[in-house]
Amino acid sequence: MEYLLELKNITKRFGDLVANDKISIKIRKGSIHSIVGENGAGKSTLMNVVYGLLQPDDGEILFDGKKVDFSSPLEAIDTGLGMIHQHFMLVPVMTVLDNIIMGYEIGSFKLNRKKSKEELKPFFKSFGLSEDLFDTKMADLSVGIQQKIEIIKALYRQAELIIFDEPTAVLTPQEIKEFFVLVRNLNNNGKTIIFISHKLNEIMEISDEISVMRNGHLVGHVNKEDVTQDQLAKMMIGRDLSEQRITYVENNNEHVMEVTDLVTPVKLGSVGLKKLSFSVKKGEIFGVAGVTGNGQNELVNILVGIEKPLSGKVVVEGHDVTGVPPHKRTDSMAYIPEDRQSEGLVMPFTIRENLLLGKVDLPQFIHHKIMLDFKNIDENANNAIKDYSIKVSKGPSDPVHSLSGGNQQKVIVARELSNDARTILAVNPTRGIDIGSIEYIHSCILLEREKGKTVLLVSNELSEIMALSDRVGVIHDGRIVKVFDNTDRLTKEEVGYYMLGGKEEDYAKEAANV
Amino acid sequence: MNKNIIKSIAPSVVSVLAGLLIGAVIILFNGENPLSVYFAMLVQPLSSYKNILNVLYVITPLIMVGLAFVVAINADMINLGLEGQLLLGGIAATYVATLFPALPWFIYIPMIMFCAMIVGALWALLPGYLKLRFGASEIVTCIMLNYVAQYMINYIISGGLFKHPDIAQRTPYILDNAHFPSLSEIGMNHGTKIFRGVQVNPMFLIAIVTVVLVYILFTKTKWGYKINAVGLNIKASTANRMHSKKIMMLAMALSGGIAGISAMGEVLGTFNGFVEGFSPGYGFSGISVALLGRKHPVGVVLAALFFGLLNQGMIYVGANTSIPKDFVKIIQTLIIIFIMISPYLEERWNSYVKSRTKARAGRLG
Repeated sequence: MEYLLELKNITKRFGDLVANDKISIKIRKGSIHSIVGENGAGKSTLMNVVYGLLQPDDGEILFDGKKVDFSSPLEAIDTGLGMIHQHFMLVPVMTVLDNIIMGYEIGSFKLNRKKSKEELKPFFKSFGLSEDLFDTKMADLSVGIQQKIEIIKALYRQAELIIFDEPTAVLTPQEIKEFFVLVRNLNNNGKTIIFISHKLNEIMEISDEISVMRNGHLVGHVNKEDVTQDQLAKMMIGRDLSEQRITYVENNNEHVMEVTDLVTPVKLGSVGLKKLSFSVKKGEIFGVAGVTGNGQNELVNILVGIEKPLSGKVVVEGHDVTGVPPHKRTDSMAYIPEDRQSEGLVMPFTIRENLLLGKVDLPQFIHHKIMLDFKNIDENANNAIKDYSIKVSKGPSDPVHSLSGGNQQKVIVARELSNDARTILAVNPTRGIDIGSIEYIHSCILLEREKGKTVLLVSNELSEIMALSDRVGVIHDGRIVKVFDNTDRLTKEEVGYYMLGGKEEDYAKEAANV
Repeated sequence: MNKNIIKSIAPSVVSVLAGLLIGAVIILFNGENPLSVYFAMLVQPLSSYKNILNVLYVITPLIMVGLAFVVAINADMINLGLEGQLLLGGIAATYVATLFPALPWFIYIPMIMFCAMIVGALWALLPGYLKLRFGASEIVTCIMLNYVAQYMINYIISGGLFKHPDIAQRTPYILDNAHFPSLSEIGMNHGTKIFRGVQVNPMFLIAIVTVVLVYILFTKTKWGYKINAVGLNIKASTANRMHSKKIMMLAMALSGGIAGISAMGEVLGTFNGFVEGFSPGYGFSGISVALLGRKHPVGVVLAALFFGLLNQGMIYVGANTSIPKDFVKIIQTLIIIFIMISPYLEERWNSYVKSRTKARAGRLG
């Protein structure tokens, strides 16, 4: 059997929206097959159908030549599928061992952890992981290791085909290199890999074959050798991708955001802040780069006002906002949160209701003091849909959960940027969305800077920081350890070195050796 | 009809039908004809215009407590303390209604109801505060506070606030200028006996007005919008500069306020004062009504109508069939069980429909 997985005319609709339109893809046994596409192109939907999380409206799936019809992931797993989700399916407070054996415990009544450990030892060895990890709590591990545990979990369940959904989004450049070696090893051991990503350089590096999706359609299928990165980008978004690199704005010394000596306690799964300081000048984009879990969350929460630091001070637009809860804030800071579904949007609400969040007291949306002015609210929503090219099926009354991730993100961006805010805090504003939307949101942020607004960009995506920022601050272990001017000479490797905790004096040595 | 409306009322309709169906099996096992039992339960309460008007009387408190529950649940607060709020509101109203014999009724009655609302609201704010300040589950504190309210009332009636040596288990009568006349009394005063025995009083109209106000609150005003936003995603609302805790407290106060005046028809009307044990657990029926009414003001009215009908039907079931009247409570319980599991049933139904259409498409293709 040449093909391990065959998708035939898979169609999946959500209401009027066709997320997958007659998709047919054949995955060759033992290959690394990438599926690329913009945000909302239907990649995740397709994989959820394959994995049994969603049922297709039409079409069929063949696994190893046999027709399968998964009504739940459980059946998919039993058949030999494994999926590494972008957000790991792990229980943070449980140990590594318990996470792996969950659902596959040995022992009829008493849990036989010892036997499970014996079975798992070879896996840990081949992944270069110490056996001490078995009894470590999941939350105490780095994201890179957690991902390895997810992969071991899939292998332990005897997965033949492993689906990776945006696996590198959470990794540092160094970890990504390691990850690719690992994927190649899996592949050499006969595993078939499906790799979902929107990062073209990674796709070009790892894939054997590439399927490109756009707008719910399969627009192309190519072998890696036959295509260039630019051609791929063109297939994906249907036009040329504009390259952007920022010119550094001239120095001015007006600080719009000043963060001084912030300290927060060390908690489970976080390092806390240790006298973190930096300041953002008027009209610049200041990027905060760092590996997840080095204090970014605490910093953002303090800036937004939902957490109080033990000590230290935050001044925004001349107002001391340290520990001031959001509803009492007098500055104009707009906030694009990291987690759009839990912090940015009210998912059961419609688009127009979400666009009203935080603005319901504005006079243009109110008449007779408390009554909502639906005419203006609708007009506001229609403008936002048009201005930010949000893809909707009907209009402002679409529930926001019917939109794709990228379009949900655009709703947030539309809401926050149409404020008269003078400062903008954007946290991972393009996490998990496709190139087209990323490019679009980046251009929105740049446009705001053109208008003279000040932006603080906190992102795990180093390339995003490098592409947008005027200055880059590196956060490591609860401190800003280094601030760079983002000139053409600045390299990812240099920033990455500090992200991993490298010391200044060692960098020259390191650089000389390379 | 609008597709969304059908979708939102379907679970309630199916739950009612399923409850009646299982009830029918129980009836059959007891050797009675289900049709005649259901005739007694559902049709006989509507057999005369007087009976119909009395159904309106019965549903008045149910509508009010149903609305009270809806207001709180929209802010993600589960107000199980409706019963306590209703009782304390009732006792407060009774007390105020014994004080000022000289006030004209159109000032006095609004004043009494306002006091009842305040007391109900304060009683609801207590669990709200305990939750938002200390994280104590409002479910537990609400239920506990129901008992506290009950015992406070025992104390108040038996000498704490009222002196009434003659009858132990009730307060003295309220003043005439605080009285809600029933339709029967109004008819008598105008020299007609056609409404004789009809207990419905102006409180029913107040309940209907409350339905409209709650509907407007949640669909047309910024406060309703805020309550919904906080109830559905407190994190996003807080990040967007809403004072989430204040809004949740507001919803609790409103809920308690509505609960506080729920029983005005009984206190100021039927009983002319507070009779111990007059509420057959209205506060708890309110939860059932809100759930069967799909947490929508209009749905609450329909659900209250249905439960009110069943309550009235109890009498006829007991009198005209061999089934005991408490059988009606079994039906009510079955319906609530079905409405609780309806999200699961809904999901199963959707996947069944999907597989059917797929199979059909397969045959045709």
